[in-house]
Amino acid sequence: MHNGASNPLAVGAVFLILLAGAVVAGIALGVSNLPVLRALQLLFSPDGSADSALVWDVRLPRVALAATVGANLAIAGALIQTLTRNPLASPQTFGINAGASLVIVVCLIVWPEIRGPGMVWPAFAGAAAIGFAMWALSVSGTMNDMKLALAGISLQLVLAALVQAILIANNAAQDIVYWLAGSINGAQWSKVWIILPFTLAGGAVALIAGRHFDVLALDATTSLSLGQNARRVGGLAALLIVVLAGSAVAVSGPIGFIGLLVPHIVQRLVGGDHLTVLVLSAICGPLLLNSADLLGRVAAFPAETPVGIVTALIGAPTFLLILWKQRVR
Amino acid sequence: MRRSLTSTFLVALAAMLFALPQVVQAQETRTINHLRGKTEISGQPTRVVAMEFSFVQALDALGVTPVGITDDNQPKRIEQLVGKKIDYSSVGTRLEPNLELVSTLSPDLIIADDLRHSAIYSQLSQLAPTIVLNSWEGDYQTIKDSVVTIAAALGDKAKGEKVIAEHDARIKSLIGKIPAGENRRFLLAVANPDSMSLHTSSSFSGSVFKAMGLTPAVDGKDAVESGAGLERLVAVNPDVFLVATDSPGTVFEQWKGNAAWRNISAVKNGMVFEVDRNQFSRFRGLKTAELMVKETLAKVYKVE
Repeated sequence: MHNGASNPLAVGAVFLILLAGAVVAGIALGVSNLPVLRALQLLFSPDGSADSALVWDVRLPRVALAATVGANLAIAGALIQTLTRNPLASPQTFGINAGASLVIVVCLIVWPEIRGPGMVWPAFAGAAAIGFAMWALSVSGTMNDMKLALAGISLQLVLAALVQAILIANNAAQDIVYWLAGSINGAQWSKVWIILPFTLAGGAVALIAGRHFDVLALDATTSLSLGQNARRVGGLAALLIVVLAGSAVAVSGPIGFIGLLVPHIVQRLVGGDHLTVLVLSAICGPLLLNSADLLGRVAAFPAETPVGIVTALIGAPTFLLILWKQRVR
Repeated sequence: MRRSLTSTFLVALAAMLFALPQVVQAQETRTINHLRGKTEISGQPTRVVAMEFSFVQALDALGVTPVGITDDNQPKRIEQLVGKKIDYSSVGTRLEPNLELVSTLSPDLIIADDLRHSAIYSQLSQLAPTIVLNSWEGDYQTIKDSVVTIAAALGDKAKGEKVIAEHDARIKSLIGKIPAGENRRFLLAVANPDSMSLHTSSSFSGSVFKAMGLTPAVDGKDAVESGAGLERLVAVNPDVFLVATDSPGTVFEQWKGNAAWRNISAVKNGMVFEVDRNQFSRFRGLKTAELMVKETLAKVYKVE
């Protein structure tokens, strides 16, 4: 795994440049025939015109939502892989996203008046419940990494089937893609404001506590002997995973594979300590999700393919590749 | 030897008894042309299974109550569809009809949808004479033609033609209330949690707009353009915008505060109206068309 020797600073700089490119493309391109240069001009000097509204109230919040959701999922993925010492772990493969999705869907049916910010709490509850179940399975020590990941995927399938059944039974089949795959087609500033505090706070705590997470990579007895309170660090990591993944699901549905993929990309490129991996994941996640969204927007032009479907198409083969490498190792 | 003689006699007797009503019914046999070929129907079917909402409305207009409906397990919808409670059995969902339930009703006519049920046409045909019509992607004219085809299958084509003539007369008198020189572009869209589905000129609602002398905002060969984001909607820029909803939590609520939304012509001119998704998108029948025209008149032109 630690075969990457690239300079983290250089990799970070490249990520940032690519991210800037994806953001500019996200703002410059769209289904309306607004010229690219005019779109970029309006970005720096909004003039209150209809075109200006398009750039500032449709394209920009979408790019911002992709960035925050991407960062949340990537950081949560890096944390869960560290916490469980399992390279196949992610908010999706461990069923945490699907858990959040299921509880939101149930709450929406029971209390249809739940809106925007209110969806965060059921998301946290669902993410925490499934996270706890997976944690209990992982500490029971009866399963190796691969078995645990497959158990997680199975759990995710069951939860997804429940989401599907509930939506169909309640005559809301049109909502299935959103609550199963996730999408940011309906991006709004209001959604960005919901997730942003969690992204900032969660990201900050993760980075501040970053060097302590190294201890989780060691086995529990070693970390205890080092005088670290491994349990407390583990609890903090778990809390961060629930908050980051849950708030992402609340605004965009259970977008998959970002959390799995990003830590692997980063580790391949730089390897190294967990703080570096966390920082670079926080940049790579937004880059990957924005790129996937661009792809979704051009794939079936003028219709927009939900980004969750794009990430699934990219992510599923990647999961198999990681699984294959595990097997070889 | 004697036993076999007796049984031969019994078989012959049974055959005769069964053949008797067949002979009576065979007096009037007709061939109905439909999307999956030709189907021979004799007599006047009374136990009809309808596998789309528009077929139920057609049967209702022709005075026949279906014995079975693929009602998506939503009996309330059927009540809304025909305007009263009717006595029928659910035979599952339109997407996945329960053939066993269809079979237990021993139907004498099945009306199926081209898109959703063509794959099971041969199975359906084994249960009862089956005709396949286009409802899911049917435009206004197709739906009207279907009413006549269904009437012919029931053995009374003239009644179907009469129903259509009466419907046309009602529509004509309603359309007369639309002011001359209307050139605004009309759009019906279904609101989803993250996008809208735009109904084009070839959809049912689009062709009803055309029949009203109005211009659909989206021209298209496909009935529905799905996955339309706010930017697409701004590009389409409808002058009159009907939004079909049936559950809360859609983009229709979320987009309202958006500056780009406020730039859409219909929004600027107060011409955005929320309508019932069943009536404007799912049902696609004669009664539905009349209701759509009436609601459009009431909402857009303030005439009753």
